[in-house]
Amino acid sequence: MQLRTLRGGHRQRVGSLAWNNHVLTTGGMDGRIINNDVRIRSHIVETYSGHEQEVCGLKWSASGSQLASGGNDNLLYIWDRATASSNSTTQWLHRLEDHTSAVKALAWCPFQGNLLATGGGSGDRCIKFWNTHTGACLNSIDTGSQVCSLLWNKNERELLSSHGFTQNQLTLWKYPSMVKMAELTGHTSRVLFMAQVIDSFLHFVEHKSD
Amino acid sequence: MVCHYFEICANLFVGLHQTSERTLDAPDLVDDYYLNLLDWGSANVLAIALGSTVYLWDATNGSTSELVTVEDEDGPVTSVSWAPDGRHIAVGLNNSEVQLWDTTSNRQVCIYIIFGL
Repeated sequence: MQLRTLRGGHRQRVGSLAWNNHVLTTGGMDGRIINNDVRIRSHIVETYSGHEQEVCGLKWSASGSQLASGGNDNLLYIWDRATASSNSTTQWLHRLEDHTSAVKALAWCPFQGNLLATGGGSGDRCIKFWNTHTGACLNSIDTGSQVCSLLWNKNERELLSSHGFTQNQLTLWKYPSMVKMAELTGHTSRVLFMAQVIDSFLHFVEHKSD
Repeated sequence: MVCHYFEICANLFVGLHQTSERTLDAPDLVDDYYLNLLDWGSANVLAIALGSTVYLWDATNGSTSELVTVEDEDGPVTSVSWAPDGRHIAVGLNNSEVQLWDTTSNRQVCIYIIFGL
C-alpha cells in the first residue's frame, strides 16, 4: 500500500536513502541531501549542501547524531544532526577530500561510535578509517580494486569489503591491524551489496553473462 | 542477452565459505555503481529494484512478491531503503521523487525471481 510520495526536493534521480527514526534522508544526482520528516505534510525539514555531483553513499551513525555522505565528486562529508537547520542550508562538520574516486561504501563501526570506514571507487581503491569527531584519517589501505560495499561484523572486530574492478573479491579484515583473514576471489562480476543477518552473513554478487 | 544474477552466500564471517546457497536471477538489474538497488530489512526481507519494479524476497519462507512497478516515465527505480521497523520502505526514482510504502498489505502477485541451488 503506497502511503505517500515525496516530491519537490530533488531535481534529478534519487540514488541513495537513509533512515533516522521518522526522518528519511535522500541523496540526489543534483548533489543535494534532504531530511524528510515522513510524518508531516511539509516533509522537507533540513537540507545539506556541499556535494557538487551525485550523492552515492548515505549512512546515519547508530546514535543518529551524525550523517556520512559520499559523492561522485570524490568527497566525504560528515554532518551533525544537532546543528541541522530548517531555515538555511546546513554547514558540514567535516569535508574530507582524501579519496580520489567516488565514495559509495560507508560503514559506521558498531563498537566505536565515532569510527567510520569508507571505500573509494576504481580510481582510488582504498579503505579509509576516520575519527568523525575530529575528522582525522586513522588509516588507509589500498585494496587493489573498486570498493563496492563495507560491512562490520557485529560480533567480532572484523570488517568485510566487497569489490568490483578489477578483482571482484570479498576480503575479510581484522580490525585495527587490517590483516587479511580471508579472501574470496573468482567472482566474474562485482560484489554490489552485502548484509549480515543474525548469525549468518549474506552477500550478493552481480554476475553478467553474454 | 545480458543476464544478471545474484549469489547468496551464508556464514561468511564464520568461515568465508565459497559455497553459494541460492542463486537469484535478476535479469533487469540496472548496472550502475552509483545506485543503491538492494536493501535488507529488519524483518528479514530483501528488497531488490530491477528496472521499474521493486521485488521483495522474504528470507524466512523464500516467497517473492512484487511491491510496485512504477510508470516508465517515472522510472527506473534508483534506490530502495527499509525503515528501521522493517515494514515501511522508501523507493527513490529516476524522476527525482521518493515513494513511501507499507509492505504489510503487500499481496503476492507474481514470481519473476527464481531461486535455484
